[in-house]
Amino acid sequence: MVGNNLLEIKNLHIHFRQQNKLIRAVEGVSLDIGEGEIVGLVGESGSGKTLTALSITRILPKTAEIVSGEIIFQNQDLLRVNESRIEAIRGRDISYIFQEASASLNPVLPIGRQISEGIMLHQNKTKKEAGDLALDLLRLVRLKRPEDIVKSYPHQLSGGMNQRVMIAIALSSKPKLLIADEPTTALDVTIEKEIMRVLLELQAQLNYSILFITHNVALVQEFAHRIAIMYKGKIVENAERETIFSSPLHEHTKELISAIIRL
Amino acid sequence: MILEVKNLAKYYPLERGIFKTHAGFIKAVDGVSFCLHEGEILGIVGESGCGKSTLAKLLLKLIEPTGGEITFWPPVLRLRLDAGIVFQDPLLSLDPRMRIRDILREPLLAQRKNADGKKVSELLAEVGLDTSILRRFPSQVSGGQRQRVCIARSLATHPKLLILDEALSSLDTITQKHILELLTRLQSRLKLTYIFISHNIAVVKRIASRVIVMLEGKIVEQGSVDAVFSHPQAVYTKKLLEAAR
Repeated sequence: MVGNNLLEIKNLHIHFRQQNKLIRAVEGVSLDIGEGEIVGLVGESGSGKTLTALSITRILPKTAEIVSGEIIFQNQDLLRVNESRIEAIRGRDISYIFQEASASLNPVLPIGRQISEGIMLHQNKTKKEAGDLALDLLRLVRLKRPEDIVKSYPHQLSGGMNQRVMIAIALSSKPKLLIADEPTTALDVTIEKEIMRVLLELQAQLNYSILFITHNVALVQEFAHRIAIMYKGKIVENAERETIFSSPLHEHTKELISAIIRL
Repeated sequence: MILEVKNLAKYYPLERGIFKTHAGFIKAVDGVSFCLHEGEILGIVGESGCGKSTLAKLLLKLIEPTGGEITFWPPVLRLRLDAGIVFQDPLLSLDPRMRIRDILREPLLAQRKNADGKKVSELLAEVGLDTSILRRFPSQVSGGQRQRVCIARSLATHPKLLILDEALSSLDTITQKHILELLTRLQSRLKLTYIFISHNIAVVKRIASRVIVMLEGKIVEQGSVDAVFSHPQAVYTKKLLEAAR
């Protein structure tokens, strides 16, 4: 069920400074995400989709600067709240999963500790309680033998298993918004299918919103409620999934759809 | 026939513990046999770790096989001159400190061939690039342009066989479509033979005429694209097709 607006991005501008050159990476992006809504943000590399996503909890690279705009979440502008407030929101109400799960995980800590770390930070639980919750979360993302997984290190798990662990960590705080930035791009097709199933079944169960970022418009066609197409720092089209595919308006949307190679 | 592979194998020894005691093998390629005809596009599909890239490296003798035979026809075929390769990540395949002009001249000079501006711009035109790119470094051009440079470089030796190892996988969808069109055009114009390695079944179906499906170092199914993809026999092929839909 899609409810009221959970997050509203208004007229966001992000600039980059590179070798004394100013790059306008995001130029006036506005995007709403409803409660329980799955929004696909689709664009080619360099279109500004990842920067838009990172700006939501202010984790942009140091060279990027938010020049103007507002990001409204629970009646507050995330771009202007103080540091301790955004730290409480980041990873709790709004969490992320990224493309390379094995790069997001700490290689020298066992999986169990990496999951309980976030739980202890955000939910005021003891080590024992957090440990039990970690096991529950691993069952939630349908990993077999969670008792063994908590003791393993990321390099001992496959790419698909690591991504499930990332989903477990992201969901540990019962977020309202999950931002998934190309979460299956590094995975094999059969594994991609399984990860998407876990992500969507849990969404139906827990009703969090998803901002799903990808370069592959065919992937979001299957599940997004709404699709926003991003091109050269701007959202050039934003419509219901069916509308995007049945009557695309912008040239770039048409080009993206015509580039899909179907089986 | 341009290539015949018989019972090819590549095993990597597995070592365990601080004394590196021998603990078996990883069978990256395990008893692979197939042949390749001139002018054909052979697709090789499978998931990470199935041995498809190891197979590509074995064919070009970039690594030595544990067993089996690779025979090129005619036997005078000069490896790495008559057979070229294009890899997945063009940024890793191009020397970051060389200008594109020098990258393209290198294979020409290596063969003591004429490497003047005219020859280099012919190569560029072949892959649809403009000469304005020549002075730039690989980091200064787009991903699609970089992959075109890699293709141009592999064409510099006038190969008969081109191995494309996930050559589209690091590119955006629109760029993928353009490079795929370029490869199709080059293949028919220059009468090239391709081995097209990819995890993307839809792309292989589009370009290849025959296909090999690999799993854990072995071929589980091979045949014409129509036969394999319309009437898959192996359980694994069915699973791959299901996931790609």
